[in-house]
Amino acid sequence: MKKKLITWIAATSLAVGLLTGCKAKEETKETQTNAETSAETNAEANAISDNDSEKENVSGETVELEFLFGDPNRTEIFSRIVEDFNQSQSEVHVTFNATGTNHLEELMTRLATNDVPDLTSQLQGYELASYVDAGYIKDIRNEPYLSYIRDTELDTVSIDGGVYGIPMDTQAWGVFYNKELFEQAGIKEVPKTVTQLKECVEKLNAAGITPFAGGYGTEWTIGQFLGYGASSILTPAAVELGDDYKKGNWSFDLPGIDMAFDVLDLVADNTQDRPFDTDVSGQYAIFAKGEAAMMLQGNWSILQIRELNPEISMGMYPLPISEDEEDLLYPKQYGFVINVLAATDEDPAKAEAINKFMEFFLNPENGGGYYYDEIGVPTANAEASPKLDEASEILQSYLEEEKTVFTYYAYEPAGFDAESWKVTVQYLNSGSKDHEQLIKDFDAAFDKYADALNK
Amino acid sequence: MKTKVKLKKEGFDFFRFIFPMLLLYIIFFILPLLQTIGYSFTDYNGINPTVEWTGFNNYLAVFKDKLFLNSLLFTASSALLFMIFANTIGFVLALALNRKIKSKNILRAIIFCPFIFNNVTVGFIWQFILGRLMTDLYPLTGWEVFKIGWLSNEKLVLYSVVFVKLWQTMGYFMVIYLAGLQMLPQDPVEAAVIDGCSRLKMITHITLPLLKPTIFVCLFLAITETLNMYPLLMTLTNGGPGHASENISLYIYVEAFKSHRMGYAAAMSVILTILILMVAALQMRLTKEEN
Repeated sequence: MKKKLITWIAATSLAVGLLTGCKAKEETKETQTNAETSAETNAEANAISDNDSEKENVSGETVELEFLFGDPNRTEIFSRIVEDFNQSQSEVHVTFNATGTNHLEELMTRLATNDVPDLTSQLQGYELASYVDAGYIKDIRNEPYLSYIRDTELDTVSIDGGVYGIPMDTQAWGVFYNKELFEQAGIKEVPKTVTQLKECVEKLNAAGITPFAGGYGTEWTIGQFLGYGASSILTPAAVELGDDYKKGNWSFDLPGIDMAFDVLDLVADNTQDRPFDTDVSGQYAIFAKGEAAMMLQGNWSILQIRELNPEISMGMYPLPISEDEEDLLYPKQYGFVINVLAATDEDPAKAEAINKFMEFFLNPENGGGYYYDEIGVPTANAEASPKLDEASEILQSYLEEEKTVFTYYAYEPAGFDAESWKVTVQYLNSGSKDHEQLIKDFDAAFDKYADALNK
Repeated sequence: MKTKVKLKKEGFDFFRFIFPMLLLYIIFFILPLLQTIGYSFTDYNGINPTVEWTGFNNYLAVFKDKLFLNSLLFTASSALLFMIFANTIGFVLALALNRKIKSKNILRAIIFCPFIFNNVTVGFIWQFILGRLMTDLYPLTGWEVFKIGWLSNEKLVLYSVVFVKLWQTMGYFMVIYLAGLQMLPQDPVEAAVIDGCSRLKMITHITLPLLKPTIFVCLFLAITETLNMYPLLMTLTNGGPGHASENISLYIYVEAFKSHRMGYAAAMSVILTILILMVAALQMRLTKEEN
């Protein structure tokens, strides 16, 4: 009898233990809501007097939003914006969940398990299309906060007339250069042709300065040469093909691509020792410390470089891949995009809460307006006049002259980007400089993922 | 002779004990397995729950996929190398530390220590050592060994990965072989000593044959360890340079979660499951024959 009782107690404890793990999450949410409800009772009187807040404060509860954030370069600044927003009012509380480099995997998993956040980031171009097709992302074309964004900046977040994201910055890619090291080497102007770039590299070598900082241990740092650096060749060709491109009738064997790959070889031959053992943070450090004069990177790196060396005097210019100065275009895209999940429409209180949050940082007059100055890059926000970092000056001039090209990334099928980085690293590692084989490898990778263009 | 009632009661007790774990096994293994098999016949991208039936297209594509064959080759190569070295080193260490030496307990603990780290931690530690640390040590020492790209050279990365895995697990294999050695019957050993058998002949003709069951277990444990290397590879090399250190698990992960080809990845998972079942069946057969 005693043995039977012990058996049943053990089996029941095991079963209860299993259920406890599942229940814990719900209980935590409940506990938080109860605490906030009691804390917000005093704020109820003020909230009721505001007509707009009637919807979210009928019961005096704070509206909870979750922001699943995926840009590691902006995590620190956006966490501050969220904290400032939460402290500035009590009707809405935003939970900031930074996911880091596995953002899309985490988002996929959350959506598959029906644990949907309210806001997320990073979805644009073909990546966005899959989520819009599945009905996860809200069409915000009629939302009041969209009025802050210039109509001309909505290309990669617009699908069939709907708008599915808020582009924040003009993300661009090019060559960071150390102005002091350039002066030391006697380089007076930034290169605008391939020949000028070669002369620039020769002068740096003659002065005993390493021309480029490489971080090929993190594949995308050099892999982006195709998606960004060759955009002036690839993007117009993809656009011209139109539907044929979507059907997968595409090859990277285009006029000018051979010279572009010559530039890739030039960069790889003039980098610090062992670039394949250096990751992206090592690349930033080498450039920030002045151990190399140039670095192929995107302007999202400005914050990191300034953190490492606030005093560095640096600029950024577009990488020349042809001999025609007039052909030189600055590759750009809207890398940092905020997306609203469609599930928020089910709760009018949440939709209103999102409007409030967006207003906080999209309106530069409000508390979150410091974002534009700290980022230091041109913005898609028509109302903001950011204080640009010196590294953004050349980009700003190219934007004003409309000498930019949308990055080929926006046209790549899902899955191709990561594969193209590996192809690039493999090519450089082999040292073969066989451009024909490189084109074949890119073509094979494109063919493998081309089906996604029609989804 | 047991009565029907008693047999029924025993059956009910048996079921009562195994039910919780059986339930967990069905929920976390059987159902996902069936779901994976289902997805492998569709174009599921991991995002849109609406899918189209594609028949065997995913399986046909897998067999034409050079990268899948590349990952299979890496998995097989790493498994073979690891199997040989892990068992050899584990056995030699067990032999060495099975003798009466003063510091054997401390040595056993030190050698076993790396096994308590998980794959992710080990990956980050060795990525730092073989990458950044060696890069910084070369200009200070001028030693050529620090100039070698252990993780960035396509030809060397396989050996670097196997080395790191060996560092992590040699203590584990040592412990298993130690247990095997200590359970060996002493009569054949004593008889051999009386007959004037040399140490080497003792090992080859007596110790190793008697250790066959342990060796079998360790051989297949080594295969399991290499198949579970995915977190180590993610942190140590991320499958690079290029695809040079991409094993089959890592390739499946990339196709499923980064390339949004969940259906295709599911097909590869099913093929991998079949390969593992074949290895498991071989193990069971060999063990049965030995018994």
